[in-house]
Amino acid sequence: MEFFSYFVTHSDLIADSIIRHFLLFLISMAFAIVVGIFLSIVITREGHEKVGQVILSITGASQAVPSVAVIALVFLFIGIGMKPALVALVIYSLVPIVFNATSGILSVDPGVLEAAKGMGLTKSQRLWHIKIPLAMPVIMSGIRSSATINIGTVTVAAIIGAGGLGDIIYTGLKLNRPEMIFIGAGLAAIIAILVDTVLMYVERKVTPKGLA
Amino acid sequence: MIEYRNITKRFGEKIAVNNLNMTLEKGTITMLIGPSGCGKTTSLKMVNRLVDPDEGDILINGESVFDLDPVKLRRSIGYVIQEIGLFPHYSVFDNIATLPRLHNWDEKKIKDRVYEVLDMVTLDESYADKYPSQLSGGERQRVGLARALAADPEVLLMDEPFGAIDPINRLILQQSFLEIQEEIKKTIIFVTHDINEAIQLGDKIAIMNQGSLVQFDTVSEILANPENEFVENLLGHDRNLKALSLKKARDYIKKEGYITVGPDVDKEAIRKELEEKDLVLAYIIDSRGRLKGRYYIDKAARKVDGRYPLVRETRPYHVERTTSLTETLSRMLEYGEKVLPVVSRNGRFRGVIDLDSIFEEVKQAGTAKGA
Amino acid sequence: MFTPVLSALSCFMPQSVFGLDTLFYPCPFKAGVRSGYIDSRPENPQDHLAAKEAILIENLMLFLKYYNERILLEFLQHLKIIGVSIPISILVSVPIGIYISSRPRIAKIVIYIAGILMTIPSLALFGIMVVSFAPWGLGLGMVPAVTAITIYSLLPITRNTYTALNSVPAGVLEAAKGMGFSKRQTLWKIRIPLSIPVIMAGVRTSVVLGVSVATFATLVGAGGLGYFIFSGISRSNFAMVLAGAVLVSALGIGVNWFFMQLEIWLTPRGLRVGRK
Repeated sequence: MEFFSYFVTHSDLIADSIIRHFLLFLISMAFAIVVGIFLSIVITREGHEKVGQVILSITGASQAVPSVAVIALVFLFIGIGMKPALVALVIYSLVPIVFNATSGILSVDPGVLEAAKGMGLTKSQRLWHIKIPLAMPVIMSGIRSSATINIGTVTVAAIIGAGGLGDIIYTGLKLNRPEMIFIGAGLAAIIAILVDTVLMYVERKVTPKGLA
Repeated sequence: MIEYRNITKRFGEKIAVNNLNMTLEKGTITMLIGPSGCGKTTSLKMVNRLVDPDEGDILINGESVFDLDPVKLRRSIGYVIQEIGLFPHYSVFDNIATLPRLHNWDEKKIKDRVYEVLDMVTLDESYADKYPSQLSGGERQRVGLARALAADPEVLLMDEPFGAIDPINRLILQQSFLEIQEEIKKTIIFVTHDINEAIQLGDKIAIMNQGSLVQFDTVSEILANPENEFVENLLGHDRNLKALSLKKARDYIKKEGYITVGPDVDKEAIRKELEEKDLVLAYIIDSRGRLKGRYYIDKAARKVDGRYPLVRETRPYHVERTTSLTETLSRMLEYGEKVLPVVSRNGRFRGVIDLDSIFEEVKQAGTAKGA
Repeated sequence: MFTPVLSALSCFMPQSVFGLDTLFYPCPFKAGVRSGYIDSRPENPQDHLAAKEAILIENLMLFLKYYNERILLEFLQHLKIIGVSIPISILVSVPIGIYISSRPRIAKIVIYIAGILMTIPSLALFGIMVVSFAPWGLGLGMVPAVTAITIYSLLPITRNTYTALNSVPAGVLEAAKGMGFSKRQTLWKIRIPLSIPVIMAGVRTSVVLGVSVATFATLVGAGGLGYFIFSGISRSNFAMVLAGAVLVSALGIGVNWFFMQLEIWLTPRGLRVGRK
């Protein structure tokens, strides 16, 4: 019953938190995708494959850094609030995207690339018509796992004042109020599962036909 | 016409190609062959500037490739590599249409051209919507060739295109490749490590070793007069036999040792004529000159009424005019025949070829070695 | 690596100033330190920097001096949480993986459910654990923490076990069958040994995840390195947060590396040789 009454009395707060939760997720993901793919393209330029390998091992290792640590470090550098939280989210979501996009682009069959070059495709044509489409499944799975991590980290970002559903859970834990914990956690879980399901669908859609 | 002029290429300390001079005539197939690391692939890739030499010049029809924009140059040259070179995310149609689209042809023209080249490589239209992963190795290779031909380039570069294909399909592909070349007459450079392929397909063979050109000549000249031990080893012990694959049955046709009869001639009359001429073979020819069958006196069978039986066969074994002597020989061995009729492409009877003329040819090739 | 990104982003966020100032003075401190500091700001920017560095180091030294025992304690507690939960998840997940390996339909459902469980944000999962265990008086302490990590580890280990067992080459299995191996022998002598590297990769993912999830254990009173981060943030103790963040990151990267080596070491000899 407590759950229900909390739900009713705090419906505004809950709605607000859901929106904020989503906004944090969408804005940081948009940044992370754009920046991440841009970085990966720069990293994997032809003739600079070694840089790509170095970045791969760095991003590979960085994926073992817990989200809380990144949030803590960003807190140290920038402080508290929604914007530092966004910065932390972008940074943390960037890692899997860069890792996957870089390894995806680097693992495109050299035979295919040579054929493309030999046929007279320019550098940018090779990038946009061959490398990116062929790396697309790997890039997309990077984006998806990044999104799952991101939406999980959004809840954590509440500790530096990002707001959102994490705030309700965090407060609930502090004040020992099970109904708050339950509502915050339940909604956060549902949103995470929804996001993952949608992305799984998108992932299937953007995979080029011949690769399926 | 493609000319290599004093081409040298180093990779670090290693000399990949050493002062290469070679002129390839228009409309011919030149096979580049040698052990791996001999510089053959590097030499090929310098034509479309996938590799740039340190010294020297390459001219296509008198124009240096280094004066041209590499992208434009590549678009004017067909390039075929092993089957892996197809774009896996493109359908067969899109793969073939890649260059025409880069050239901004209109869609109608592209469509017509795609089906035209598909037909050329003997694939029907149903292949257009398939993806490379749905094709067999041989089919992929045909698509690769079709893709290279799509923009109708004058020059084709082929880098071990049939290397990953099983022997049986490779033979089929080589045969149809020759038939296509017969039609399109491109200037082709073809890298291979398979000497049989080089002999089979080449007009000329360029043999390379450790970056240098060892011998560059017509196939028959190389078989007859290998420059040195290296070439001899490359050709193998059976090079006399290999030389046979260059010779065509049409040059060894005999018009004697058999009689020809119409389809309706009486059996007794045939036997009579054969016995008079002391022959055993009679070929049945219809009114338009086509081979319809044969009669032969079967001397291995038991005599009936004191005479050997006269057997009629409606579909006799035969070879075509363009069949190589190697192939002819192997068919004789397979069928157990010493004499085979030779027919033209449309089935007209031209004469016979016998085992003795093939042996004679082997002997001659053997004596030419010392020359 | 982060600095360029931060400065790039600063263009969009005029209020936050990225630079040396923020590098050494985290916002929570900014006001306090500055008020006593601005007056004595030296003319030379070089001295300015040096002064800040000195305060930073002093702060850290003080923290390490007074907290060294606590640091060790929480570090060991962090390891303990993982050390308890990972064996449990292996004991649960590997048999599940083996069981579903020959039942593709059940496998699909199990992996789907495990996938959904893994999607749940860790803080939310902790919350759910606390609420669910509360009726038995187990809402705080090791139980919710260990359960949460075990649940997260289900997917990586189960899925990897399942995939690995099913990707043993058919030829190898047929040879084993032809040589007279029973089903059980094939499983224990062929399929499992060949699957160990992949299963271990799943264990590695779980352990790394465990390090991350265990940082929340402090919120349910189970301690761990998360203590420094969460308490540090709420107390605005810069050195504490830094120590916690660095330690937990190092632990994550460290166990990841360690388990990678373990994976290589546990790979059957024949497979190892072939790979290089």
